[in-house]
Amino acid sequence: MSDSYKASDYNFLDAALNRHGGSMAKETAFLTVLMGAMHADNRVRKEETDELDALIGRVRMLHSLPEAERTQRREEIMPYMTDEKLRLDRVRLACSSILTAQKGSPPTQPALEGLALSVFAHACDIIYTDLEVTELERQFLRELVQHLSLDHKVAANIVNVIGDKNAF
Amino acid sequence: MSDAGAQHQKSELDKALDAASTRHTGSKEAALMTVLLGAVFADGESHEAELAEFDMLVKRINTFKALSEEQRLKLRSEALVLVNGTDTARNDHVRTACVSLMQLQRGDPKRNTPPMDGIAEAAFAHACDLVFADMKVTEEERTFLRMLSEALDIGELRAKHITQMLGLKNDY
Repeated sequence: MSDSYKASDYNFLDAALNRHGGSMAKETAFLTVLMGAMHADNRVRKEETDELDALIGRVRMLHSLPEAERTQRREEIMPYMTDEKLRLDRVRLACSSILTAQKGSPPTQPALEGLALSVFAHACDIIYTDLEVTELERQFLRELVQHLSLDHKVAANIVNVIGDKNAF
Repeated sequence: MSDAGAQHQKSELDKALDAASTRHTGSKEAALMTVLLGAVFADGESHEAELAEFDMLVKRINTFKALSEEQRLKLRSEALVLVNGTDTARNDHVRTACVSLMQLQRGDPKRNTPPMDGIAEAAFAHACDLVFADMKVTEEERTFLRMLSEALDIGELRAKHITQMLGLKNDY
C-alpha cells in the first residue's frame, strides 16, 4: 500500500467520521435544536409530538424531506432527548454542525448565510409559545446563543420580536 | 314629551348604541382568527391540507389555547366565511377585525376592559410568520401585510423590524 494519500481518501475518512458522531447533516442538526427547545423544560406533553410534526412540516430546511424521512429522523433523535445531559450534548453537537453548514465548503457546498440565526429564532418561537418560560428554557436559549456564536444584540432583537408575537 | 319620556327614550337609544357598538367590537379570538386566516388566504387560495396545518399551528397560539377544539373549529369556520371571498371583501373583513384589535388594545374603562398592550403587534407578527413560512412570498401577500400594518397602526420602522426578524427566522 502506498504511503501517499489522495484527497479522496480523506473524504472517505470524513464521511466515516461524520457517520459516527463527528457531525450531523444540517437537517438533523436543525431538528435536534428544535426538539431540544421543545424538551428544554424537561417536560413533554403528549400532544407535543403532533405539534412538532406540524411545525417541522413548515420549516423550510425540513420541508424538502419526504414526510416518512422527517418522521424517521425525529424518531432517531427522540431517544437523546429524554436525558438532560445527553440532550444538551446532542444540541451542542448540532450547533457545531450548523456552524459548519453555515460556513459551507465551496464550491461543492455553498455557505448557508443566516442558518444559525434562523435555527435560534425557531427555537425561541417554540419556547415562547408557552405562556410561562422557565429558567431552564432561558438557560437553553443562552447556551444556544453561545454555541451558535450569535451576536447578543441580534439575538436579543429576535427574542423581543418573538416574545411580543407570542404574548397573545 | 315629558322629561321622563325623553329620559326613557334616551336610555333606549343608549342601549341600542351600546349593543351595536358591542357587535362591532369582535372578541380578540374572532378578530385574531380573521386576521390570521386573511393572511393564509392573502394569495387568493388555500387548500384543505393548508387549513389542517393552520388548525395545528393555531393550537399553539396563546390566544386560542384556552379554547376547546370544538370552539376553535367553530371560530375558524366563521372566519373562513369572511375571508374566503373576493380580495375586497376579505380585506374589508380583515380591516374590521383590525378595528376590533385596536379597540381591545386601547381598552374600554366604561366596560371595565383593561388595555391589551401589544395585541396589534402580536397579530401582525403572527400574520408575518404565517406568510413567510411559505416557500414563496407573493406580491398579493406583501400587499396584504402592508395593508395590515396600516390598519393596526404599526409604524413603518417597527413593521420593518418585525418583518426582518421573522424573515430571518423563516430563511431556513
